Amino acid sequence: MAFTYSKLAESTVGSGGSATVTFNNIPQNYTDLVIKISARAASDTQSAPTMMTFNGITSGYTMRRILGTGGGIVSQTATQTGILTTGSDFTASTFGSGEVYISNYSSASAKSISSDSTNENNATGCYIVFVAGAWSNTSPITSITFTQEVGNTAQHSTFILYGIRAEV
Amino acid sequence: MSISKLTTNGVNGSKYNTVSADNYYMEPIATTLLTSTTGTITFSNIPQTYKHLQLRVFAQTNYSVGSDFLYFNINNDSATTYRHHQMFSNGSGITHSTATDTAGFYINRFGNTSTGYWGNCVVDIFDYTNANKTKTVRSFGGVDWNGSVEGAIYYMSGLYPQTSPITTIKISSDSSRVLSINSRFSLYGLKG
Repeated sequence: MAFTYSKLAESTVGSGGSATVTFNNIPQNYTDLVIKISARAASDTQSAPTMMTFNGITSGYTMRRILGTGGGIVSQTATQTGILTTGSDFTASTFGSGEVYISNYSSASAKSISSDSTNENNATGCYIVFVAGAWSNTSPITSITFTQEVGNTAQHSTFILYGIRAEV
Repeated sequence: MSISKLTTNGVNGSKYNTVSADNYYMEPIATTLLTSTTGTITFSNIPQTYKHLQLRVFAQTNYSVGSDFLYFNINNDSATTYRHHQMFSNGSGITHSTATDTAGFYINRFGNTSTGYWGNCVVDIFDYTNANKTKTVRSFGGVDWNGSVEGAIYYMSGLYPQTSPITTIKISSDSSRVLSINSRFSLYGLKG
């Protein structure tokens, strides 16, 4: 039976936080991947960038993003891709929300990634970001790892990986 | 229960084609389609068995001045101060701002009866049963207004700074306004 939109894996960060959250052995029989994320940084502050790497490879990533900071909106480029999570100095027990879309993840061409995310804070400061990213590597994506720019991902953060299949 | 699979008899008679209706991800919980105007719609006794919720809104109010926000209230709590942050553009710039209110946080802008415009948005509510997290939502949508700055596109983040599981969601217009007939609110559960 074909599954058009199916959960493939789920990860909830346990006590003490985690340096990495990884989905391994991703099935290659879907068209696209979606990851829904509710996360917070254990020690990083403010915007708390969460980087995403594929297949354990840390090179070949680029992105353009629109970032709202509470003090203005900027357009930026960077040599990474990912989302924002809630910084540890923001309101306690409050987690950022984000969604990542990875098209044609099993193809032998460069990968296209888009995401939107926001980290909440019961104050004026709060970040919202839209990302259009690329990974120039042509290998099929078999694993995805999330890491905080600084420190661990906080306990109770959740990452759910879904597969989307196109009817051809 | 959602449809899990559909098959149709193929045009050649002997072949059964699978239709893309397989869905082991998202199930409809409830829909309210207004047949009369009202100031508030409520989803109560929300099942606690899903990982995330998603609310899809197509709405309009009778606000005579222009496009209109709706309030998103959780668990009938009007004592807590809610907060939202928003990034929006009305065609003449883009802004990031925040506000607080005890009635709930805002979700997007919607149309009004005098112009006939409607607004829509999709609201994601992650980990709505998790007692270790305050409740946050993100919403994307807006309304076009045929060139007027009343039209706007919104990406909003809402905070209900309480950790209690969400059992009730109430959507309401400002106190002096009502939602139009044919406004639709559909709540879905996303499996974890």
